[in-house]
Amino acid sequence: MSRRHDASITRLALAIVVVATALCCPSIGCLSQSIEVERSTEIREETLFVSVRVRVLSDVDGFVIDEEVSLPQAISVLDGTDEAFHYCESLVDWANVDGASEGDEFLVSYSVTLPSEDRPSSCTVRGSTIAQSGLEQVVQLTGTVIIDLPEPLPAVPSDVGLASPIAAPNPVREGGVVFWYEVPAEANTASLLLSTLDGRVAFTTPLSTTSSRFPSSGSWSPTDESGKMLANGPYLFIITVDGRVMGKGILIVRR
Amino acid sequence: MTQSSARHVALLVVLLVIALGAHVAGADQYAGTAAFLELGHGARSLALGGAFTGVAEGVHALFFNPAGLGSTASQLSSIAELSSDFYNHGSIAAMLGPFGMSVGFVALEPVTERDEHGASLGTLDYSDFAVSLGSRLCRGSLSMLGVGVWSIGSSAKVVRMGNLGDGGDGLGANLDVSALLCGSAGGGYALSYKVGLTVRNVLGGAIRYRSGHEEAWSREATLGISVSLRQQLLVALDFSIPEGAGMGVEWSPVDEMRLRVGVRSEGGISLSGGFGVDAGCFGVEYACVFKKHLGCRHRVELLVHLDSLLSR
Repeated sequence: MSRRHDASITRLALAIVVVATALCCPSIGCLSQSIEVERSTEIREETLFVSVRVRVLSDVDGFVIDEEVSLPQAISVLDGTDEAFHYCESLVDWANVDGASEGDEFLVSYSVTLPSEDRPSSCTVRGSTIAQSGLEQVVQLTGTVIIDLPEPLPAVPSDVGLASPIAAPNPVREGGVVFWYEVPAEANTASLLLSTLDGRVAFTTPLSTTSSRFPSSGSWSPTDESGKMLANGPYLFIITVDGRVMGKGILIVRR
Repeated sequence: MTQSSARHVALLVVLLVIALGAHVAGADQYAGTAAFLELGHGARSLALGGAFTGVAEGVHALFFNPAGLGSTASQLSSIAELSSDFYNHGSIAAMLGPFGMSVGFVALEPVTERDEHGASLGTLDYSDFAVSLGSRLCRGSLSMLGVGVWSIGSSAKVVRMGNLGDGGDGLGANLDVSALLCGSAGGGYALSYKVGLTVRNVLGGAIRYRSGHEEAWSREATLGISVSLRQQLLVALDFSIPEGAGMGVEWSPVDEMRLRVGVRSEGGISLSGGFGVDAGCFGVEYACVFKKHLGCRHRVELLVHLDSLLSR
């Protein structure tokens, strides 16, 4: 899914560049060529943050955008059937835009609020942005990106406790496993340890004391410290908090 | 050295070269295949930090170094693990002359089965099962370099992994080969030593599951050395490739009692200790292994010295 997502972001960047070139060349300035040099996506709670850094490949005469540019002009978010996707709210922002000449980089970023329920598997974000400097339009950017939305995070299982961490699914197959745990509010450090029944430690990782699951998103494929897949069979998993064992359980790997 | 001994030594060299070649060539895809077999050792070897390849005495030479089978009186062993909250482990092993056999199992306490959202689906039972057969294949004397006796051994094991339905159980077999050299020095053999080499999983197919999943066995070579002073103080060392090293010391203040301590580095450091007591044709061995975050595991083993029992 991340590969499709990355491809979508690439399409957005390219669309912005191409459309901007087509629309703005007759006016004051244009971004005649640019490349995407960096992109990042992050999901925090119910919000998807997307940032695309674009580098200008050739000078743009007279292209100056100061702090008074107005962004964005219009953003609409549609679901997979082109119906208006009212759950999403978005904001497009530019950063470090102060003129554009060869080698300059600027950032286009936006965020989309995702619905927690009845979330479609993808949505389309269409942006049409007119940047103005004073009263003068300097560039108009439009772009479309199709976003594959992540599955909503499942709720913490009700029977997770300080002394009773949970691994799910159990037995774990090819799809990976999620560890659910609870730590005291005053905890400073926490870690997860996985060992064979005879006590040979196969994997350890620090845990977030502010989270209740490992990994924080997606799932973890059981591997040892060197990345080699763990063989089928039972393993002990142990949650430690500030160096003390807080809870234990059994995880069965079964392929 | 006689012609027969020379042939045996040549056989030993060929076997070890083949085994080491297989070890080097082997690329295991999975870590910890059939890891439950590591539970099946005796209390003595556990207390010595697993440094038993160069000791290779008694019934548990079957696992560590089958070339040592038959070097002591015949034994029957029964092992139980006492302290685990999550599983039960037991095994029965016997050594009759140069032949050894063991049957072992590990059975988990009921495990809560969960779906991907953590919802309980009930409980499931899980167990692994193994049978091992081994023998000292040949033995000879070798006076050069102070080596008194050499021997070659091999053992085969068959495992049944899991008892899960829906294709979740697997079956596999493999072969270990080993060699042991024994020598002595000093007047009245005050000092004796052994050097052992065991190469595991040199010949055998992958563990095949009914789901179609396959796992190659992890290949491992272990070199062990032990030195005994007047049969009262024993120091043993083991080094394994790709991972693992152990050291143990055993002291026998009287013939009927042995005290042991050990340390092992393999997936973390573990400390161990234990004792053994003989009473007539019976013996009791105890071991405790401590590992950080895992606490102590206690193992008790009941030994029957068959030769003593049958001679009564």
